[in-house]
Amino acid sequence: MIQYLKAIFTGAAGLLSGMAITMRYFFMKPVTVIYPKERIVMKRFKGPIAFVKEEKSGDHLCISCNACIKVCPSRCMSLVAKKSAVDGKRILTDFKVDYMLCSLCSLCIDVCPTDALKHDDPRYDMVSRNQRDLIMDLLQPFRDAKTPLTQIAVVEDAPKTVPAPSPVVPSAGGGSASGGQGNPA
Amino acid sequence: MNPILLEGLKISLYCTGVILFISVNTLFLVWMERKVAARIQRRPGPLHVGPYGLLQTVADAVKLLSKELVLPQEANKFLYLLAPIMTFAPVLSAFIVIPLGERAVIRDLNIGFLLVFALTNITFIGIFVAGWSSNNKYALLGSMRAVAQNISYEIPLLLSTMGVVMTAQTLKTSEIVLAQQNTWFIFIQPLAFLIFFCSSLAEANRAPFDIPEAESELVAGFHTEYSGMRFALFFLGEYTAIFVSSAIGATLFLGGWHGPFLPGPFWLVFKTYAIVLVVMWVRWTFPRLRSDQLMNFAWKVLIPFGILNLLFTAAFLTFQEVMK
Repeated sequence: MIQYLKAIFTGAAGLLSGMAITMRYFFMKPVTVIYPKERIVMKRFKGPIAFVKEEKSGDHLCISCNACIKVCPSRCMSLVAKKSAVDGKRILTDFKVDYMLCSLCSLCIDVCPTDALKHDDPRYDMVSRNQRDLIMDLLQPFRDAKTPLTQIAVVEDAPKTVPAPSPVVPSAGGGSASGGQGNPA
Repeated sequence: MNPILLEGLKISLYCTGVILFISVNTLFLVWMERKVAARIQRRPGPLHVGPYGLLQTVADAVKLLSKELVLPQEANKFLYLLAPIMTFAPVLSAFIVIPLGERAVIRDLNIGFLLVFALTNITFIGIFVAGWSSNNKYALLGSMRAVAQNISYEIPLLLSTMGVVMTAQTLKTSEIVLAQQNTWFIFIQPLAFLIFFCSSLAEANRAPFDIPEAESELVAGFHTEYSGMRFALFFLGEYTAIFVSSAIGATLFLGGWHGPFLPGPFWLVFKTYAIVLVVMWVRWTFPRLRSDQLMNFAWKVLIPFGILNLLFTAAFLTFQEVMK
């Protein structure tokens, strides 16, 4: 009998304490972030690959060594460098990352000898309707800011001469065949 | 004017009013339930449709109305169609006796709230019919549980109200409220109120006693096979049952229409919604009981205490009579 009453009282106390907890939660502020209207700042989020901006000159640090291109497992990077017209150094003229292919593995960042690459600010809602927007030109912000390195005149490559079409063996009655395709001998 | 015609007009007017109130009330209660649940779980709840998401339930109702009414091939068609009406209609009857004010009762019957308890029990026949006619094992299991549960808590429910009836010396709801002019019965009969509250939770199939429709075990219980407006009728019935049992609780224990400053009907509705809020609070706090735990609770705790309360009340009243 005593045990029975004791069980009832301890049970009731347990129920009341449970209700007290839910009442406390009832008056707390909801933690939900209503996403398109509200955003949270995410630290330690791997954003798309970007160039580090040097403090002093405001320029990028790339020396066009191609290490990142070689190490990239998804082959999403491309780089074009040309000779400087002033001193003959290699000058970066184009650096593109295909964000559709990039797996954000950070290998390019690790391998870079000048620490020129980094993960960009957390932009976790990057989305696009077409593929072109996702091919990112890393040099564009520096071009826009007209930093010294982007202003150096470069020696334009001599226009590559289109290799002359291999001499085609004229087949009997055949018209003029252009290009190396088709027309097996 | 012809008295029969007048009576008919009156009845249809009351009916329209009650049904209108029930629909709006259900829409509001569903919204309230979702908001309370959300706040307890630290979410904002419905919020995009209308101010504070108030129109969310309206949108849901419109969606339900446009749904296909599925009729299972193996179902007993007559019973299948009858069941939603059987569960919904009896709940309406309670509005006959709920007193909004001293004169504002549709019918101030002599048997009073006993009529409500008698009629709302038909709901359970409706639930059983629904489970049986669906020809679905989950539906049948759910309805069997509902019937087993019904037997267990109906006794303490009535026992708890008997204490109030003995104190007020009447079954009429309006006179019971009048008897609470000075002190509410919750202060005279606190134990009875607790028993009444627990049993009314079970009567409305609410968590932690929502065993008949335990969604994690029985898909949806007795209304598994129902869709569209038929499902909505079950829903209407459930939420109206919550409102009705809370309104009866407010009438019997919380002094009905009594209250300062504001008119009576406002106080009754206010007290009713306060009890409904506690019901929702309880639902989102506690896990569901097992069937045997409910039986244990009803037979070994509620009924002994109900009888004890009855005996004490009787002894006290007799003592008072003798001392006079």
